[in-house]
Amino acid sequence: MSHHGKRNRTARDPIAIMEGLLDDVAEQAVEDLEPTADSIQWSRALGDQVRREIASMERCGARARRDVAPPAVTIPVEIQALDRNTVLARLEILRQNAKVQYAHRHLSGLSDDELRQLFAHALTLTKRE
Amino acid sequence: MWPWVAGMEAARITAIAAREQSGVASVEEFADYRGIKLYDVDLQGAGAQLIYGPGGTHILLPNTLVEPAERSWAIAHELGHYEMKHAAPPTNELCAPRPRRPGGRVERDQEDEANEWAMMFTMKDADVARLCDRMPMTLDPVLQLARRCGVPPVAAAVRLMGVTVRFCAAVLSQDGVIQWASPSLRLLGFMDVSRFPEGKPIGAGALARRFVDTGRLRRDPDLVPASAWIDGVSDGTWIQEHSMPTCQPGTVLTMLWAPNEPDVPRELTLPPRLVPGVRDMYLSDEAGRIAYHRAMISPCPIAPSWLDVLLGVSLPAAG
Repeated sequence: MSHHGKRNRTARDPIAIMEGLLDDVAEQAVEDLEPTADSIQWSRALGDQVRREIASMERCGARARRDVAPPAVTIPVEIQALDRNTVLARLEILRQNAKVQYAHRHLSGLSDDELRQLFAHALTLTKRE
Repeated sequence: MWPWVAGMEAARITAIAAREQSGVASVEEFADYRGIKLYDVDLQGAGAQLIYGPGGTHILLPNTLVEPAERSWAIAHELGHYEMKHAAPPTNELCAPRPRRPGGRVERDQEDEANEWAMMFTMKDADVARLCDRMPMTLDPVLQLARRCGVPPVAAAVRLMGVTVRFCAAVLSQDGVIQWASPSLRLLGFMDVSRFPEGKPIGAGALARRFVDTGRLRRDPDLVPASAWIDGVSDGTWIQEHSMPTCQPGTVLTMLWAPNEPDVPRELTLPPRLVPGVRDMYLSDEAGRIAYHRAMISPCPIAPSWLDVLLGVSLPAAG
């Protein structure tokens, strides 16, 4: 690390002087180094490890972005005021006009609120975004 | 070929294509790839809900569905409906449990197709092939497949039964009563699926029965009387049972395996990709099954049936 580094110390700072010296020694060692098969293999393995870790961090970041839940679909007051039969009738119109399709897993029967929730989602999907 | 068989094969082909074209490995990534939004909502009347229209697609999941494998499986099932472009049933069917299809595996069944799509997408043949022909067949390969693919053990068991060449069956029971059974193709050659009748109470001696009676379940496989599970077998027959409770209270997943099975390798003409289709054809064709049994299963000279021989009519009780 440079002695003008982020520790905000002056050049007289003994730690900064030591870091500068270590940098110089390391640079000189690199220049003087005669690469061997072992050191090349070691450096390649280290490079691979760093690349794998960066890729892993990128994947985690992408997953975290995906896992952000979409904003909830609110059920408008008008829909909340509808009774069960009206919701069913309006959903049926959407279905017959092929505006929306739906499917369920392990359907045991939707409650009034669940039907209103389905209708509210269906309405948001009837027009192209 | 019946429409049910064609629909199931279409689901498998669609799932393989979706996986290969998208290049993704998980159902959550595939939903993202398709631009499908996932919502965790208050939903008790269904295990999951798919809604799609010109403006996009939403999958609604019960906010009680917190177990990752169960949640992924629910998403996979709904993606199956979406990818198969299933038409919605009339809205009056939303108010009650969907009735079971009449007449067996003849007409197309959207729920079966969605499950098949989910199985092929989440558990690819290469993963299944490593595990499906293990001997002895227990729940161990089921759990390995479930862990590897991030699916519930019940789904992994059904997938393995669709592919394996072993004489075995996966059975799900609730409070000691059989809910469904999924025998392998080879076992179906010796007995009809009706020998595992839905609603049949599990008999005495079965590990799953003991679980109901005592609340405790043996962790390891054991030999149990075959008649505890299968209708119409001799009293002296035995079958290996390996059972475990599932995350649903009172529900037990069981793997049954014929312990006398010879260690015959898989025929090259039956690769894992083809076996589910062959099995579906066999299951859907009742007349064909009867004809097969008449032609192929000769009278057994040493026992009431060859199934009794397979289940070790002369084996002593273990333990």
